[in-house]
Amino acid sequence: MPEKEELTKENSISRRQFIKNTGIVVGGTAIGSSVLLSACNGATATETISKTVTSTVKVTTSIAKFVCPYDSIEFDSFAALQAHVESAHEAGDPVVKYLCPYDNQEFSSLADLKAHLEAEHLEAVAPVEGLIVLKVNGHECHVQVKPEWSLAFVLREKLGLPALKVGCDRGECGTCTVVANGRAIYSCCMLAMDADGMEIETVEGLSDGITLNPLQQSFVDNSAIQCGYCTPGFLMAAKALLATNPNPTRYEVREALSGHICVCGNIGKTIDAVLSV
Amino acid sequence: MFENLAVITNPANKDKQIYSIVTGRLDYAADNMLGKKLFCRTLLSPYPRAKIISINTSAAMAVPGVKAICTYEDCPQWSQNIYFAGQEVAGVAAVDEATAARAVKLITVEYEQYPFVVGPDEAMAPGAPLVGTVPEKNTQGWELMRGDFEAGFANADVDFTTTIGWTQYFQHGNIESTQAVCAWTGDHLYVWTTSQNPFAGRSSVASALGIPQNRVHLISHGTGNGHGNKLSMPWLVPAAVLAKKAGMPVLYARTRYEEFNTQGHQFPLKATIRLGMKNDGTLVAADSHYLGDAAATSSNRSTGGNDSLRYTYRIPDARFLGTGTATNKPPTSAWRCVQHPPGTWISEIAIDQAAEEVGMNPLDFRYKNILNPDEVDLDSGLPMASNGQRECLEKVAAAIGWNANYHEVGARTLEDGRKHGIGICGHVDGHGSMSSVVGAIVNLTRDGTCLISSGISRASGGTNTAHCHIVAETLGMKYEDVNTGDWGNTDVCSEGGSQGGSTRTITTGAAFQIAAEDALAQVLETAALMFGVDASELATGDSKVFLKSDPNNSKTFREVCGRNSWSIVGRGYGWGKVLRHREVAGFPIGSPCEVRGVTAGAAEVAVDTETGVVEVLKFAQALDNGRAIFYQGSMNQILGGCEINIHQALFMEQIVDKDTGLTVNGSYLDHKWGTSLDFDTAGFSAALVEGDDACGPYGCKGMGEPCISNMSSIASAVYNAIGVWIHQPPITPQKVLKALGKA
Repeated sequence: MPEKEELTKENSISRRQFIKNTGIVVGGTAIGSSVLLSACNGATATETISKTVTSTVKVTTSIAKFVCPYDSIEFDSFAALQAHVESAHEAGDPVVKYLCPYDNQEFSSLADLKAHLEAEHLEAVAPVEGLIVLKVNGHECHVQVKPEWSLAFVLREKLGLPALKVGCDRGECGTCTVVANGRAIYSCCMLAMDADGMEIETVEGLSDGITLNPLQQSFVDNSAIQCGYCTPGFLMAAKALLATNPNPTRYEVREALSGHICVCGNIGKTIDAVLSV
Repeated sequence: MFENLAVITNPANKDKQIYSIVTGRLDYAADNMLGKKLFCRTLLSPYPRAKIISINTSAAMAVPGVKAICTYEDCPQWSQNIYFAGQEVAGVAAVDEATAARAVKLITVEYEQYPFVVGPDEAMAPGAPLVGTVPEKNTQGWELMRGDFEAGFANADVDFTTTIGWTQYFQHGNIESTQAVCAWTGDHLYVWTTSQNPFAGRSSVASALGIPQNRVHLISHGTGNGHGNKLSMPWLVPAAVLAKKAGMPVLYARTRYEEFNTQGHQFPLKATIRLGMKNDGTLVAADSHYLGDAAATSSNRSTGGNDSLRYTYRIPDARFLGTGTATNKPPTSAWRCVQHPPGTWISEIAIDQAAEEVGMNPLDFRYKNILNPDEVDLDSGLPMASNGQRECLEKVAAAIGWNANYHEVGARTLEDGRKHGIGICGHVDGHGSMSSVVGAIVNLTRDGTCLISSGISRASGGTNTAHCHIVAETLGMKYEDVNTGDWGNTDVCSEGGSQGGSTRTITTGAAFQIAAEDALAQVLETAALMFGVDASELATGDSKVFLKSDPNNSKTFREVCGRNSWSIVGRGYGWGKVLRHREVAGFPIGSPCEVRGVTAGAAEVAVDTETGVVEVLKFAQALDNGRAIFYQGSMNQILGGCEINIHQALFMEQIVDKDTGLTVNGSYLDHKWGTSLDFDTAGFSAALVEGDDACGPYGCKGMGEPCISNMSSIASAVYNAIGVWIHQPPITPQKVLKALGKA
């Protein structure tokens, strides 16, 4: 499969996968870098990836659309319809009818439709490759991803959450930090597929945008911004810190923010802001 | 002068964009066309000097998901001739970055390679290969004579010479890499870009593509840091070309690796400085020769390195020389000034060494030799607008505890075994003056509030907030009643100028002051009809118009502006020239003057002589910006400067292999930026010196550039600690250990 071979040569995957495999976390990544980078750019990492990335993207050729009987939203797969119904509606209402998109037969439940599909249209219920579920800022999101897409890319471009910024796209600057299952992570270094099932928090979820949350308010009170591009990453790192350590010492704050670069020189004000929440 | 200011310098006033920033709603270039755009990767030349013979892109174009490829043949920004390794050769737009990157690897290029030169010393040597960016020769000279420097040295008791440099080559590291989204609708081009000069971006794209400027709609709202790297925007044209070829919106964003290899860099400098002094430490003569490495840029002049020595000290007889050279490295561009930060590193170390030569304390030596506020510039003969150098030195000396903490070299060891040292430096430069005349628009709504707009970007925090202060103060409105309307939008704003030279608060601010005066005249004209008096009998304040003779008889701006069925629009441009507000040294009010950026810094360090690690314990910085229009923004600039001085002095350096011309450390980690664990900002302090000789609107000057020129105070402190000078920044542990004979 030529495409598979090409994928295995992709440098950006190997770097991300490499960093992920090394267990690098936010905080302290600015140290001991030369070993990491030389390994990432060298042949060794390429070999690593040829073993770790094994899946390729299948293009769905079917034009069948599964329609939600409650709100008429269309889905490309039964799995997506099922996930939508289970999360958005009270399943089992006897009035609704599920329609098989292949032969227009009606069924009174998802289970019946599924049984029919398994019997008659097996390809329709095969697992959809790349379909992941993320709980982003409290909302469940189903999104089909390619194996090489980073979580940052998917959150921004596929889920439309631009507050998350990308500074280096290679695990060096902390700008793209989000909170995943309570932990601050570099979203450029996590493959979206690896985030399947995770609870993700971004700056959009910190407040409704009108009433600020105390952390945001503290950034305002301390004038802890300059150009503003790194601010979302700092906010999310601070959010993760304060969730587990509401009264951090100055050193603990410095440590929690140490995976972040601020090129304008606003680290001092940011530390002050986190300390005075 | 300018007493009773109601809005300006109020420490409570917030940045007008701070809420949109902390909620993640300020839009930066890549935030546009989400989910609809293509992504790019570029092929960079692996050779530092070559000519492209042929490019084959057919295999790359055949990769599924690739939508467009451009090369020098269809991108007018690019060239067939290669001047540095990292120069863009081809760009690929595809459905995602990984696809584009795969395609880039399939492009085959045939190059004809030529000899090249990477090191500046080698480039200046006779017989060196021609770099190619400047015609006929690599070097260019510059000379400025003041008095008779030879006679000055003949009159000196002490003749001291030192050679310092090269300072390091490094990259700006803008946290938002250089990038733009381009999309075509018919023959109209829509551009969202990171920028320090949106209108220059529009004109460069229109000119390169041969289309009128009114078909280029460029917006630059959020800009993730600039530092001078985004003054010109070579990424716009390839983005526009790829978008046109693909027929889809394109994000052309430099990867971090590309950023290190294609974008701007700091100008490395080296200088031999000879100083003539009297036995009492009075400077009488100087002969200063700066060498500069302009890398692969079209200009190879080296003029700015001398500025700090020229402007800071009273040296009656002097010769200032500059020799710049081109080299085959990724190009240089302004880094918060083109040459002042490294130039000052060199000249201030030389001043410290000269002080020691005559047995003086470095602070006393400076007090003795700096130009005082009422002295004229020694080259132009014009007076200087607010020169608070002495006050800046006094403030940082007090902040660092100079009198208590300064000691003989190597004399103090801390309890943990590290050596203690303190150092100081000063700096006066030519920044912060008026630049070219620009425009501004003030729009009063019918409910009596105000929106302002200008064509500047938001490359640094707070410039358009400073403009809100100027407009509110001039109109007599409350700060909260004046807001930023659109900015950086070439469709609706007036040309606002480039965010360079520390000029936007003063120059665009002056245009806003005039625009606000224009709007104020219209407000008073309308109010005069309502009061039934002549407009000259009215005044404004606190968002009200009132009778001068009876301030309690007032009408709100809402009442006055609501009377009309149109919005009052104030228009302003100018001033463009700098005039004195105060009579000094026989120069009357209103006469021309020199504007100077004035600052001083002091550092306290601990040096671990076992590991070579330098820790900055305290860093104090003071800056004379005339008047802090936007107080919080001004303090952030100075405190931010403290951090950047440390990045420059201790961490940042890009290493280019001399044999191949290839960058070997193109990442944030190896080309290191300090983080919150590398220094503790608790020991940092900022002080403002407000000059009494205002020249800009409400007495402001620029401040962006001077506040990162104090890094030599760290070298000075390291010397005070361990008794050896590290002449070449960054002061890495390896260099310290080597200087101590341990490595």
